[in-house]
Parts: sequence; structure tokens; C-alpha cells
Amino acid sequence: MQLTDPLTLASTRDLAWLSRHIAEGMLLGMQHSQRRGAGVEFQQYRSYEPGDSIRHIDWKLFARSDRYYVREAEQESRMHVCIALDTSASMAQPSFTHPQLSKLHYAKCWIATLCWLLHRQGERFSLLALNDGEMRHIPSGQGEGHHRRIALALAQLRAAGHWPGEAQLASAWKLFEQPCQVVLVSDFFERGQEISTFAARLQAAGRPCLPLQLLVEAEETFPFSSELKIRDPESPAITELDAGAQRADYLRAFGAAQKQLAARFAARECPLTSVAIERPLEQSLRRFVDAHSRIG
Amino acid sequence: MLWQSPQWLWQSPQWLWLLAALAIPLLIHLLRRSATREIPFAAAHWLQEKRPYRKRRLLREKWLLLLRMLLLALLALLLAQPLLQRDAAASADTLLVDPRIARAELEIFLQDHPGFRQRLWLQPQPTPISAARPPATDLWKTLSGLAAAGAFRRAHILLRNAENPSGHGALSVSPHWQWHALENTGADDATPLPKLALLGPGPPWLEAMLQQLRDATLPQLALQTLDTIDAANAKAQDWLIYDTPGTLPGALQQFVRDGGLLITDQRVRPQGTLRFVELAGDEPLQAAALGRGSWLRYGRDWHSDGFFHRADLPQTLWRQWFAQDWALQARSRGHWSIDASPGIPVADAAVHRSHLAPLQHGLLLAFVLLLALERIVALARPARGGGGRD
Repeated sequence: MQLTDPLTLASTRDLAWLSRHIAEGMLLGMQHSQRRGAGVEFQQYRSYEPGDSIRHIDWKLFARSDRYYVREAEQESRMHVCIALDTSASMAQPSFTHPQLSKLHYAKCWIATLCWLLHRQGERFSLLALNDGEMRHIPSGQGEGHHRRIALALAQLRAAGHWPGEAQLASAWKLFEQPCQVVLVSDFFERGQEISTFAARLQAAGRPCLPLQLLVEAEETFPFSSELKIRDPESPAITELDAGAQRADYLRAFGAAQKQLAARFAARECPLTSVAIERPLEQSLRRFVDAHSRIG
Repeated sequence: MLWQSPQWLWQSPQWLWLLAALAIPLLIHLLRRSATREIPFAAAHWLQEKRPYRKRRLLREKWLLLLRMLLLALLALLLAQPLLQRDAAASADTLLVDPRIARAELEIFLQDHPGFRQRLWLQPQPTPISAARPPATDLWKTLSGLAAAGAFRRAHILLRNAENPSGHGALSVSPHWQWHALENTGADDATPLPKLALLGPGPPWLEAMLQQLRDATLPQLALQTLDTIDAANAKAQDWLIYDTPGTLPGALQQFVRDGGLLITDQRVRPQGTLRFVELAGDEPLQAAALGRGSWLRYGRDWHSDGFFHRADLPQTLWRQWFAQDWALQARSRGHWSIDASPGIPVADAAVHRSHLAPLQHGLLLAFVLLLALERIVALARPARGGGGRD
């Protein structure tokens, strides 16, 4: 399998096509076990919507009624995968080796690819993009068209602001009333513990939260040695420092914070997957899927 | 004090342009300071500033900058070779001694006149009498040169004779000079030595012959070497030895007309015709009078062995040359006496009271010390941090 390099990720405009390409590459050689109808137990008919696979149309019913109906199974209608994406300003962090590629862009590609995989399994999925400025929600759906919708919505996202506060999150909680699994994509750079708390509350509400942390390599290795002015995207202050002298301290502090974060998620039985955006997308997706074999 | 009004003079002031290079370390410093990279870094939360360290580092960089600029400035100064003018004190206990005076005569004089702290040979650049005796110089010129020197403003001057041949041009003297002479009688018994000059490459035996003469009887004898024909001037030289075969150039003919003695061998031919008179003696030798001077011409090629393979060559030649009325000529020239010095007094205002002291040694020392200091500061970087820039 040929892996996708960061340049390809950064330079491809068509998110839908790219994610489909990557996902099909990952699925190559897998058994196309048709889980027709996605769910064995029939629950109801629903009228055909663009984006639904033609395979799911009940042709006998079409012959009777001259209308397209799609069979739906009970399980699907209730359970779906909600992908929550943190779009705070820190997600605009570009890679230092590939400046064209930012965390947010990687996240978009990653989510689109995951959605295609979910689509190929007949799962339903929705998207929630959060920052304190705006909240973008695509309700759950399935099929190729839904994937396209999600890809389109993803492409329009911009990173700005902070993680939303309690009041702003209140409206988001309604979206989790339906049973769902949440994939939380963020860098988990918190000012307090706001993102962890969000995940913990989801968990407590019986919505399994599967965290994916996006990092750039420089955050893990801190390869700077000269005088630097460091601009924190989420705070106006500019820090001036001698990077060489600070390196050891930084690595210690960062390592400790990472360990603490991972421990917090491990305690809730949803292990944190940390991914460097310079790594190929297939690898990170595979790691994520392996860590949560319930999806894969 | 010595440092009354220091005024700078430069031996090669073009190097002062190097001072413009001071801008280089300054520019590097400024560029570096502003070239601090700014990066967005979302994990800035785990970085903390350490101001004191940075301040110390900045201070050190300022020091380095200062040192480097100083080094450059010193380099420019070194190359420009500054001279510091220092006042020279005119002391009355300086004695300038005519180089023709023998050592014994001088000792006697010094016993009679004790109290001279500084005893120098009378020369354009006086040297202590403990140094080797310099060749006799033209008193007229030497005195004129020294008249304006502040250090010798009040010197005592000891001459061999009270009366001396005058030169061309004006004699300048210091009104404060005090004159002494060993012989008041004048220059009658001691005929002054002629000023001997050589134009072009001379006969190979000339130097050896002059050396023998110096060793024997005429220690003051000096040979001046002229490079061009135009340098031959009867005012500056008395005798001229000319060794280039061919027709005599017009300038040399003029030299003879002005009163000089031209000495050649048979290979030099006159322009036009000249009436040469054969001189008596075992050597074929002829002379011709031309204007106020004369031309002495040897009948043989003086490069041939037969001419110079003789033990008495120096004395013979000297006698032959001297016989061309030198004594008479010398005596008939103008004389001046220390009793009635014809010189024009140099006013005190016209005296440059200073001499120039070179500063190279001090500057070089300062440069080396600063360089060492700069290296120490630059290399003694703090052990921590590691990633410093130089």
C-alpha cells in the first residue's frame, strides 16, 4: 500500500475524492462483506434521498408504489458516529517540516477518510465542528452523498478562537441525545481541562468518546536552538526565549502533560491516540481503528 | 609637560577609510538582533521565559560588539600609523660636534667645557658621539636644517675651524646658538675635501681605492652616486667621475663650465673639439679647461689591468685629481666665519618645537591585548544552553 505523504495531503483540494482514494486504498484486499441494509432487523421504510445507495432501494416496493423506498434497520437508526472537531486557533498550527500542512487540514483529511470508511460499512455519521465563535453541525446521515456533504462542510472550516465555554456547549449537548459514539479530534492543548471535561461528560452520559490528538513533530522534539519569538495562537502574548536553554525544561513539561492526559483517558477505557501530522494518514487511521476495534 | 597639545599626524591616512568597516560588526549585531525568528507554536503553554539569563547574554553581546569595534578601530589606526607630536625642550646643555674633529681634540675640549649632558654629531639627524663617526657633511646645509629644530634651539656648536666654506643658498641659524671652534685661524691649512660624485656604473676599482684613501689619510671622504645626468650640478658636487663611453652629454659639459672637475678615461669624447693638454707623468693623462672648470682625461681605458694593477694607485690618482687646482678653488670660494655669521636668524615663532613620536608599539600591544580579551569573552560562553550563536 502506498502511503500518502504530507505534501499530497496539503495540496489536494478535493477532500471527498482524496479521502475516498485513501480509504479505498486501505480497504484494498478486504472482503467486501455486504452488510446489506446495514442491520439485519428491519424497522421501517423511508423515502429515498439523494446519496442513498441504490442497492438499498426496495425494488419490490417500487414496483408496487412507483416510489423509491429504502429499508432501514433498527440498530442504525439509533446508533451513529459523531465526529467532533476542535477548530480553535491552535489547530491552525502548521508543521515545521511541511509548512503547507496544518493540524486542521490534516484533521479534515483524516475525518473525511474515516467517514468514507464508515460509509463503506454502512454506518451513519455526523459532524460537529466547535470553537467559541461558531458551531457547525451536520446531522447524521449515511451514504455517498452524506459523505460529500461532510467533505464540503469540512473544506469550509477555519480555525479561530478557543474551545467553547460552558454556555456555548449547552446547545451542543442536545445533539448527543441520540445514542452515538463520539470521535473527538483535537490537539488537547487546554487552558484548564475543558476538553478533557467535555470528553468525561460524554463518557458519563453513555456516549463513548474516542479521542484523537494531533501534534506536529516539533512539539514532541522541540528542534529549535536559537533565539526565538514564540507566538501562542490562542493568546496575544509573544514569548521571547533562548530555545536551546529551554529545550530540556520544555520537553520535560510537555512529556509530563502528555502522560497525564493519556492517563486520564486510559482511566476511562478510551485510550488516547496521539498522531504526528507528518506521519502518513493511513498509519494514524489504522492506529486509531486498532485502538478502538469496535469501529474497525 | 610632554602632552601639551597633542596633535595627530598620519603617515598613511588613506587607511583611515578602514574606519568605515566599523559598520560591519554594528550591522551584524543589529541584523542578528532583529532576525530573531518568530514562529507560531501552539504548545507555548509549556515554555516559560527566563529573563535574567537573556539579559546577561545581551550584556555579553554588547561587550563583544564593543570589543570588536575597538579592535577594528585599532587596526585602522595601526595601519594609518599615527604620529604624536610632542614638544621638544630646547636645552642649553647640548653640544653638536663637527664630525671632522678628531677624538683626542674633542676630549680636550670636553675637559675644558664640562657640563654638556648631550653630545651629538653635527648632522642632519644628530646621533650621539658614542656612535660611529659619520662622514663629513656640508656644514652650511646641515646648520640650515637644524636652525628650525626646536630641540637644538639653544645648542652649543663645536666646529673644527672658525672659517668654513659657504654654500649656495641662504644659511639659517638659530640666534641662540653658541659657537665654538678649535682653530680660529680659518681653513688655510686644512683644505676641505671635495664633494666626490659618481655618475652611472663606475670603474670596479673605485670603491676599493676610496676605501684605501679613507683608511689612510682621508677618513671623511664620501662618494655620492648620481642616478641621472641632470643630477650633476657644480653647486652640489665638486668632482664627478664619469664612466660611460661615447660623446660627453651637454649637461656634463655644463657641469664643467660651472666649475666642476670631470674625470673620465679615453673612451669619453668631447662634443666638437677641445684643446687637451698632455700632463707630465708616467701615466698618459690630458686635461682641458672648459669654462671655470676642467676635464681630466686618462689616456688609457681605466678598466684595463695595466691601469689599476698598481700598489700606489690610490695615492697617485688622488694626487693627480687634487693637482687640478682644488686647493686654490676651495680657497677662492666664499667663506663664512662663526664670529660674523652670515646666517639669517630663524625667529622663535617659525620653530617647530615638536618632534613626532610613532605610536606603533603601544597600539600593537593594545591590539594584541584586546584580541586576547575578545577571544576570552567570545569563547567563555555559558556551559548551559549549548546552542549559542557566535
